[in-house]
Formats: sequence, C-alpha cells, structure tokens
Amino acid sequence: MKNVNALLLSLVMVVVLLAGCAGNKNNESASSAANTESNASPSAIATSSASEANVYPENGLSKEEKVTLKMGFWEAGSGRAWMDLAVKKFTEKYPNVTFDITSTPTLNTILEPKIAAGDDNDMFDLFIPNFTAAGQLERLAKAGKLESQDDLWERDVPGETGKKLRSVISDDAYDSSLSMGFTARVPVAGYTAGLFYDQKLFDEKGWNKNPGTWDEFVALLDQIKADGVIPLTFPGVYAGYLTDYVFNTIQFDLAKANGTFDTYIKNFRSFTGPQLTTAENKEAWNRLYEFGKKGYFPSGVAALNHTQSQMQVLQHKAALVSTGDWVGNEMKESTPEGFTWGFMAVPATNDANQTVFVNSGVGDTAFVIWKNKPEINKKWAKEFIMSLYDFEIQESIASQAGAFPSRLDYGDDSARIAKLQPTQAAVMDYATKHNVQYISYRREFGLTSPESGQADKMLSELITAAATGKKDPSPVLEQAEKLKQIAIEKDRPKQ
Amino acid sequence: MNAGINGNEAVVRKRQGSDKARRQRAVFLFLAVAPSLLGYFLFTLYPNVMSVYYSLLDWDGLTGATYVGFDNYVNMVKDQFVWRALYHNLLYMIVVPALIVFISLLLAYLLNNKSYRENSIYKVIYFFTNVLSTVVIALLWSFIFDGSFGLLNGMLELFGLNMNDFYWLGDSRTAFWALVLPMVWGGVGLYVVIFINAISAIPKSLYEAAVLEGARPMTILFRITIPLIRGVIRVCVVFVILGSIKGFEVIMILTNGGPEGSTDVIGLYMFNLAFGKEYHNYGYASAIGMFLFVILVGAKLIIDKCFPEENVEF
Repeated sequence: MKNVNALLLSLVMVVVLLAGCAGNKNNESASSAANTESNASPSAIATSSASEANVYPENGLSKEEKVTLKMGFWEAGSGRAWMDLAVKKFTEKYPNVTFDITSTPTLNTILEPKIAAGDDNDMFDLFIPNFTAAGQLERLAKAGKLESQDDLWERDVPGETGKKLRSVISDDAYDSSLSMGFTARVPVAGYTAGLFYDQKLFDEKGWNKNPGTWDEFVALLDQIKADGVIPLTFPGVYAGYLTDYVFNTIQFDLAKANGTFDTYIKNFRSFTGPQLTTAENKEAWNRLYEFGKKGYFPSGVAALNHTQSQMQVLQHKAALVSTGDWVGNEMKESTPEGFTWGFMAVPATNDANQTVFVNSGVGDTAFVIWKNKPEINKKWAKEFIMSLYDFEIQESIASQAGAFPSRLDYGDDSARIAKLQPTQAAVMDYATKHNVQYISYRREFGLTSPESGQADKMLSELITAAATGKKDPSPVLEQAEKLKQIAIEKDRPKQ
Repeated sequence: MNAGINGNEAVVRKRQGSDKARRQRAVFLFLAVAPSLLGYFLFTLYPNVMSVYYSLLDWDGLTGATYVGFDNYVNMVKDQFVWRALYHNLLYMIVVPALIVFISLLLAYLLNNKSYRENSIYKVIYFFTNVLSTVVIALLWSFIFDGSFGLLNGMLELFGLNMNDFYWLGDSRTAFWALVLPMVWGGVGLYVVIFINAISAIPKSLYEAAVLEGARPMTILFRITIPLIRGVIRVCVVFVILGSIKGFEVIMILTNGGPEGSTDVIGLYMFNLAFGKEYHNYGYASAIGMFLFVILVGAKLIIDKCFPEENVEF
C-alpha cells in the first residue's frame, strides 16, 4: 500500500510539473484557434453573425463579441493612475472589451524574452516599446512585427467630430512617428530632459535662472561653485544621463549656429561620416572635460545613482541635475515644501538669439500593436489608443503622470495648462523665453556588431572620467570612432 | 514429489515477487527523479546547449539572427574589456574566497569552542546576511559608503579622520577594494553555519585526548579541526571561487562596473552586452558566456588538483 501511495505521489509530482510546463501549451492551442478567428469566445462567435446590426456606431465593431486585450504597460516614474483611468473609461464605454494588463517598471525584461521566444500567441496585443538598448524598436518595425497605425492620423479625436488626430499632433512628433517608414506608434505623451533645479534656491542666492549664452551659463556655474554648492550633478552609475540629456545636444546647437544643422542631423540619423569625431561633438566633450577640470561635478559622482543625484538637488547640495521631466513625479514624496522645480538647457554659443536644443521623446507613452494578432484585437487596440486623446485622459497624463500631453490644442485652455505638473510647466516656461527646438536621437538603423558595443563602453566610461577631469576625451573619441565605423560598415542595411 | 513441486512453485513465486518489487522500485525511482531531471534538462541543460548555438550568431534577440561562425570568439579575443574584466575577476577570485573561508572558519571555531552565553544569537546574526537578498545587501552598503551621510565616513570622523565627503565607490582607486566588503559580508554567514556543523561532528574524544597530551588551541585547530573538516572546506572553497567568478549582482547595483570600468567583471560585461542600455547582442554575450563556462570548468579542475579529495572517517 505504501508503494502504491509513493507511486501515486510521484505520479502527481510529475503531472504537476508537466502541467506547469505545458501551461503555455494549453494557452497556445486556445490562442491558436483564436489567431485564426479572434480572441472571441465560441458562443460570441456563434451569435455574432446573427447580431451584425448590434455594433457600435462610431467604429462598427460588434457589441457582443468579447475581446481581451493583453497589454504591456511600462509603469515608470509617471505611475499608472492615468492608465487605470483610461482603461476604466474605455471598458465602461465598451463593456465587451476587457484588459489583461502587465504593468511593471521593468517591462523591458518581460518584452525582450517574449519577443525572442517568437510566440505570437503569448505576445501582448499592444505595449509600450520599452527596450533597454537603442534601435530595438526600429529593428522590430523593419522586421515587419508591428501593425501600422497610419490610419489613425485621419481618425477624429474623441468627442470632436471632424477634428483629425493629425491636426492636433506637432509636425516634429508626426515626423518622428513616421521615421520608420510607417506609423508604428502615435504619440500619446512626451518627455523632455535637461537640467532641473530649485527656483527658490536660485532666487535666494540671486543666481541667473535664464542664462542666454554660453558665457552666461559658465558664469552661473562659477557663481554656484563660489557659493559652496556643487554646480552640476548626474547619476554616474548610469552616466548616460549627462550626455543624453545635456551634452549631446551641444553638438546640434553648434551645428545650427554654423549653418550646417540639416546635413549634420541627416548624417547623424543615417550614420554617415564621422559620428564621434565631428568638430561639434569633440567640442561638446571638451566642454564636459573643462567642466570636470574646474570641479563643477561632485567628486564621487561615479557612485551616484539617479535617486542620489536628484536628492542632492532636493537637499541643495547641488544646484542642477541632469535628468528628465519625470523627476517631479518621481521625487514627489521627497520634495521639501517650498521647493519649486525650474528647468534650463545649455546655450552653446554666445548668440543670445541662438536655437537651444532640448532632448525630447515620445517613446515612454506610446503604444505599438503586435502585427501577428487577430484582426479584431488589433482594431480594438487602435480604438483604445484613440481613446487616449480624450481630454480627460490627456489631463490625467499632465496632472497624474507628470508628462507632456501630446495634443497641441491641450494648451488652448488655461485651466488645462494649470494641471501640468511643475516640471512640465517649468520646461514650457523655459521654451517661452528661449528659441527652443526639441530633438530626439533616433537613428535609421541600430548597431549590433561587437565593435559598437566596445565603442559605447569606451564612451560610457569616458563620461565620469571626463567629468572628474581625469581623462582628455579626444584620444578616446578617436579610438571609439574607429570601432564605430567598423560597426556601421558591418551593420548598415544592404540596399 | 509434491513437496518438490510446491517448493519449486514457491521459488518461482518468490522470484516473481522479487522481480515485481524490483520493477516497482525502478518505476518509483524513475518517477521520483523525473521531475528534477526534467527541470534540469529544460531549464539548465537546454539553455546552455542553446547558448553554444547563439554564440555563433549575430543576434539582437528581437529580429532575425545571422550566422557569423566564430567571429564573436575572434572579437572576444581582441576585446580589451574582456581581459580587463577577467583581471578583475582574478583579483576577486583570490581575495574574496580567502577572506570568506578564513573569517567563516575563525567564527565557526570560536562559536564551537568558546561557550559564550550568546552563541545562539551570534549564529543567527551571522546567518542573517544569508537571508537578505543581494539587492538589500548592496543598498545597505551603498548607504555605508555614501560620501555625504555614509556610516563609514561617519565612523572615520569619530577617529578624527575627516574624509571630506569622499565617495568610496566613486573613486577608481577605492571602488574595487570597497566592493570586497559587501561580497565578504554577504558570503560569510552561510559558511559559518556549514563549518559550525562540520566542526561539531568531530568526536569530542579527539579533543579530550589532545588536551590530555598537552596540545595547545592552535595545535588543536591546525592538527585536528582543520584536517578533519578538510573535505567540507574544499567544497566551500569550490563554491566561493566559482561564485566569485560568475557573480556580479552586488557590483551591478553599487557601481555598474564603474568608475571608468575599474570594477567591471566578466559576468557584468556579458550581462551588459546582452541587456545593456546602449547595446544588445545575444550572440556576442553568449560567446563570452561560453568563455566563462570554460573558465569555471578550468577553475574547478585546478581546485581539484590543488585540493585533492580526501575522505576522513571518524
């Protein structure tokens, strides 16, 4: 009897393990059926033909066909309150649609293995393309994995008949959306990045909150240092915060001032010619190095993570931190009373009317739709994306997520503007006082060759070395350029 | 005659019974081992075998892979960052296991041989670090090493040493060695418990005889205790050395390989090549993973050579 029990127990263990391993298989078979039909329940499919008239008038989709949309949501510093509101509103309006949401700050760790596994049934219907490495979205788009959202531009925004989506999106965001040859995503919200500070501290110390030229900017940093405060800080553990958000924009400022911006940006996007050893880029790195030699950065900056560097500004140990406009939302629990966020970018020349570039992007709050999904799911995913342009959701993006709503007409109403969080309001205020041009660092293709990895590592290590005045960037840039050119040669798509 | 037939039947029946029992035993063993074996094949062996294949590809993990033969291995040999990371691994491999084993042995010996009233509390305290996750350990030490409000600078100030907000992890001269402390602190607990159990298994009569013959504590330690737990020490040394070669979690959280690559190790470099912010190439990362595998096997062989297995019975 004991043996029988032991056998049964072992059998149960094996079955449980196999069931666990086969869990996906079961889903797969269920989903496989759904792939050819939809995710609709069998009973709904049976009755759908009989009730074709029972459709939503605004989109022609069935009211009875039950659909579950699998969503991958990147819950970053902006939180998920706005998304919860969007889903609630949408499911109230369309009760036949339900959501299966995976919401996490580390969506990339789920997305990339899912995509690598190549199982379309297991994949999200729609997700925020939060990848760790640059160029991943472009690669997916090129590989034909993403559904085109071109048709959304000519759709009416919610509740406003005749007002097309295209008409409320900026040209820059529109161009960005089409940069992959088709609309892989439409911008729902955007971010900006640069130097953030406490306006109250600047007022108390009498520091210049609006340096209009390079000399004024350097004079400001000198004054801050003379007052015993660290002028600039950044998370050295993730040193790209300094270059991506501040120093990489200088090359574009300089190109614009030289009258070569159009060629420069074209070469940048297409990896044509030198990428790291252009006169503009070398100058930007040299300025970083000079700042390092002058002691503008904290001595132990390499050990700071992003929270620590932001805390330095909240505690008034440092004056300016290089980060994104999500900082207000991210640090709201630690922000002392009276602290008022301010923003500035770096004016690279001494022309008071120069164009100042500010890094911006739409990647954090835009959904892509997986192509190999049932048509009905893709249609509902598009409906959901369109619903995000409802002003109530756009207001929630501003007030709860601490991001820039993408609708241009958002600013038509002062009550809506008042709902912007302090960091976004600060960026908007800066933009009204300077000739600001927003720029993203998108490229036409990504580099995967090992040489590119080595070049990036060289640059990444150079940031803290230059920022502490230990290493002259020029030789490293030359060395990294050689590796980068080898990678470009290898990875450039064949015509 | 009948008795003979009955006897044969009994033998046959007995043999059949024992065959059945043997079959049942085999089935039971198979079913008992099958879940673990299946798990091993699925989650360990299969991914490892696939890594060999991936190492021959140029693959970003998302889109189509290109077969590149041994290019990744050729690049790896030419990659200065691989060799620098390996050098750091080598240093950690010497320092960290030596400190962990030495401190663990010392604490285990003291707890076993000194009858402190708080012995049981000490055991819990030492083992406590093993209960903490690596992330917690790393964050704890990031507060200790912090330049502005860190415990270390605060303590040094008590002794009159003003460190002027010195960030121990922010300077390439100190970051590497500073990381040794959390690695050792986080690793000692488990081995203290293992050594305590190993030492307590040594018969007391051996110690009593040694004491009667006038042996001093050091003699007892080096002539009785250590030789008799040599097998356990050997296993622990293997674990700690292999762990220090492939581990990188503490480093990733505290410095991410910086400042200026001074704390980069091979595991972290491989991880960043596969999942880093700037760059993604599963193929190249897998090639380095294969190299790491060879190093681990090599290290195990060297340890086997240096510490031959000796069974001690007592």
